[in-house]
Amino acid sequence: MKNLPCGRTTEDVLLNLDEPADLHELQCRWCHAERQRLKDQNGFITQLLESSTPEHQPEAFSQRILAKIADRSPFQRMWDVQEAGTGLAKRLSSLDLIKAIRAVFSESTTPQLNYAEIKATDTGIPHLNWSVQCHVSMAGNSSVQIIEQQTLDYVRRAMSSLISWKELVVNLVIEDLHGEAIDSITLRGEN
Amino acid sequence: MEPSRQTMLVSRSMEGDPEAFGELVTALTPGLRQYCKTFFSSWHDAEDAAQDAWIRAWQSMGSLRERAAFKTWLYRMARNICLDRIRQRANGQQTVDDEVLERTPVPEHELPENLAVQRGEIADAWQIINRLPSALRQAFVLVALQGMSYKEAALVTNVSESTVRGRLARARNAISEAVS
Repeated sequence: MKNLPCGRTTEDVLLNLDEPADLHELQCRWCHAERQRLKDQNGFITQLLESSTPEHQPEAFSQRILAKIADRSPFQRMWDVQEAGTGLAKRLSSLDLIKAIRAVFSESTTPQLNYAEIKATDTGIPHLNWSVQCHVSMAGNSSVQIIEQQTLDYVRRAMSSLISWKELVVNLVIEDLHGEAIDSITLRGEN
Repeated sequence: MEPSRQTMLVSRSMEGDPEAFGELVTALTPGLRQYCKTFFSSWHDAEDAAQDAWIRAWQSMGSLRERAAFKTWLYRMARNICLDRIRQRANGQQTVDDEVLERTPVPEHELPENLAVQRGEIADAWQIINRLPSALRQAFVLVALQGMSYKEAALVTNVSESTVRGRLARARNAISEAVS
């Protein structure tokens, strides 16, 4: 590491290269020049690294990955259910049910569904009792009471469009913009 | 990719949606591949490790607790895969320490003759990066190349933020000396 005439070293400048210059650096022409030199050289290498990275075909790579994961343990559970309307026995995955819930939520502008989990809570076939976890974030002009009501209503609608059910427990988690939970409540519905 | 879009895709992937997962793969693989390259001399090995990291990620999505931290979670997984592979290659010895591995540059015979190179002579900047010990390479690629914060890079590499800061400074100094 080089010693600068002002008493600082290249290392001092390097350690804070990603931070704004401190008062000394702002006033010191040696530090200022050193910072510029280091930024210039490192920027040059960064650009070179980007340009000398061999070409990659992300779409083809993704297709390969998707082909590989297709037959690997999906963390999906399959459920024996009774189809709404026809009453026929059917098997649906958690994802099938969650997609139906997402479709209903997508029509709404107030609660936004961030994440959902679903599982049957009875041991019977077909399953009639369900627990759904919904992580939602809400628009600024909405209230928790409205979100609770809407979430329960949306889940009920989604479930009813696909399957026959008796009891529904919705664990609602309200999240902030960063996905941090700010409130949670358990809602119940019966059919 | 917008962070909110990424978090949404992570959520849908956790729900088991392969299409959302595929979109994540497409968006994040270029960076992941670069990170894996810090462990190997060949791009083929890096891509192979990245592929395994994605497959392991798919199988472990259920264990992800913080959706917003997906990227560091994925990179940590990739790091473990890369270190395991290096260990396996070290004559099957299982006792190679992480710290020893991280001090190791890529094998000498794959490097150019001279450390110092003129700007006009640089055919492949990765040759310069390869001269650095692995820990410095990782810090440089994660922060300087991929724009991770010190905190995120620290989480990926399992060290403190101040260690990342020090490693990055040393990497930048070495690079600066190599190109001046």
